Amino acid sequence: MPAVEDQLRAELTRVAETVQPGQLRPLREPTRGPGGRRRLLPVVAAAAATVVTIVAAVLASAPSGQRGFAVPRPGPAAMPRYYVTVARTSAGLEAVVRDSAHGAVTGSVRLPGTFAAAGQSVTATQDGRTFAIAANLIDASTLPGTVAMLYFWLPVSADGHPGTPAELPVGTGNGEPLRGMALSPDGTMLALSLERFGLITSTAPYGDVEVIDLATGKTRAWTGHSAPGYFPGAPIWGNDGRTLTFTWWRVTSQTTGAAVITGVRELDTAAPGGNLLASRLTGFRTATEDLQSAVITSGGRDIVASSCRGGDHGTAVAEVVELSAADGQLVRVLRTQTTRFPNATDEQNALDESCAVLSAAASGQHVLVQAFSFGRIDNGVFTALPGAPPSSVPFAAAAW
Amino acid sequence: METEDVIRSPGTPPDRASPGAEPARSVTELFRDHHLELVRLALLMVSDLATAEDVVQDAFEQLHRRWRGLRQQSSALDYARSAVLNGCRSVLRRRLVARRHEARAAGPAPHEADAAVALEQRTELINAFRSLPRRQREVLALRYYLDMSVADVAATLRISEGAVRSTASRGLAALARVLPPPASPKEP
Repeated sequence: MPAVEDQLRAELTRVAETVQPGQLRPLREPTRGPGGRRRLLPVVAAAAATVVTIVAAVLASAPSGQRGFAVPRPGPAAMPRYYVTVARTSAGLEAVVRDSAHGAVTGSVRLPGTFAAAGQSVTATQDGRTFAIAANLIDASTLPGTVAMLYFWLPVSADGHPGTPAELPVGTGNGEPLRGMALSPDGTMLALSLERFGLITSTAPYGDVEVIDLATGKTRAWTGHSAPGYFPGAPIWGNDGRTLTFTWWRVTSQTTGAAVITGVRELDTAAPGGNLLASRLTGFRTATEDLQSAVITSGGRDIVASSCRGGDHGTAVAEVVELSAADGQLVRVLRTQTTRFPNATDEQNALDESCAVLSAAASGQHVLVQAFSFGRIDNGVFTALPGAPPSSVPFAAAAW
Repeated sequence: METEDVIRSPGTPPDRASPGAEPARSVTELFRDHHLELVRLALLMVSDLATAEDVVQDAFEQLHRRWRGLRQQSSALDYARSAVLNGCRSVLRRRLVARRHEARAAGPAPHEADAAVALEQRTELINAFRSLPRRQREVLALRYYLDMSVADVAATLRISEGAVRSTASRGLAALARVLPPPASPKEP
């Protein structure tokens, strides 16, 4: 069928040549040369903020080979092109897409509904073009104070324009702390780390991990019900699209919500669900304390974590640190910021709500943080970015 | 609010001399030389320019990191093409998921340049090409846009030459069905 071949050749050439050299954006050279650290897994947005007084710790998983974690495919170590912030405005809850280099707004969209002031979380797929947003909704049609967690799907175009948010078929986590979530590398599944409370609130909470198929809404759950006082931190997906790795926390004070990280768990999600405690645990010899949020980076090799504490004379100190995922030990301090607050209330609000590692690029080299100030850390260098409210107002969620 | 920054332990300086500097230049040259071709190949797969450029950028960065791992650097262009096609597959998979939510999540308005490109692309044959199974599109694009040999297509897609031939044949047969029948020769 030479006629078809000739026509096809001509048509493909014609379509291809609709792109001319002058239209192309120049290629961006990767920041690390060949032979640098391999790029790893997608990382997840950090802690959701439904509970104000949290403590946490960090953790990470051990090197891939040692723990059987899927070795991720090499990929870009470049900074993600866009980040998405979600914050409450007078018009409601708004998702804003910004250019990662300077924070310029490339588009924004309002989420439908009347949302509570706090409790948002954001995560992105590996390519940084699809985001999932979780937000606490105040349901005006029921009793005052009734809260539900809604989840949205937000695509972002190559030039940074957000699509219309679509509600995802997720019916879980209502009124209970979402400790983190992660979109699978291909964007087809959403993993949630949840902290559950029993019917009797004085009993210790426990943790569940749920994986939702976003096409069908089918949910698979792994419960840690038999381990009260423990819950999972923000998960990350392995590059195989089935392994989840997350920090494993122990509550040390039910009054304050303080907790420490005791190790890292690795869950094979191929099963239909089951006992979370059957997942593989790498315990730390010494629990990592005094941290408030953590994300696992670099495919499970590192942990980036934050801590904030009150200091002398009205000052408070925020730290962002990198820990070894193998043993929880400090590798380096990425940033320290000392801030003076005008009064004790502002200081306490900042300590409670403005100290979090929000999201890390897959390579682990670029991290979004809010350690009193919002910005990014690139290989240890902090750059302030717009997009988050001042530290004295509720926490904003962000991811890239 | 007064703020004081202290960077105690900044990371490794990015400008530290890298032993991979020479390979990096080679990869950069490869992509500089073939940037347009690769973007056009991606465009045939994903249909919009911005995404095609992103796919090629990702492939560039992948090759930048993997350069030393390639058994023969002469295969870099094949690897680049293969990486571009892999990136296109990921994009198409995500679109499939997105379409399931499409009723409530209309995608963003196309960029102006993309819209112009899209308009240029609409023909019956191209529409039929885009409705072909992914593998058929890949084989046909490599064979009839890049004019690659059956052996080269097989190497790039890591399939057998027989599979290339049969896949191309099925694709062409499907396209032939949408074309108007050839005009009958006029009677003398």
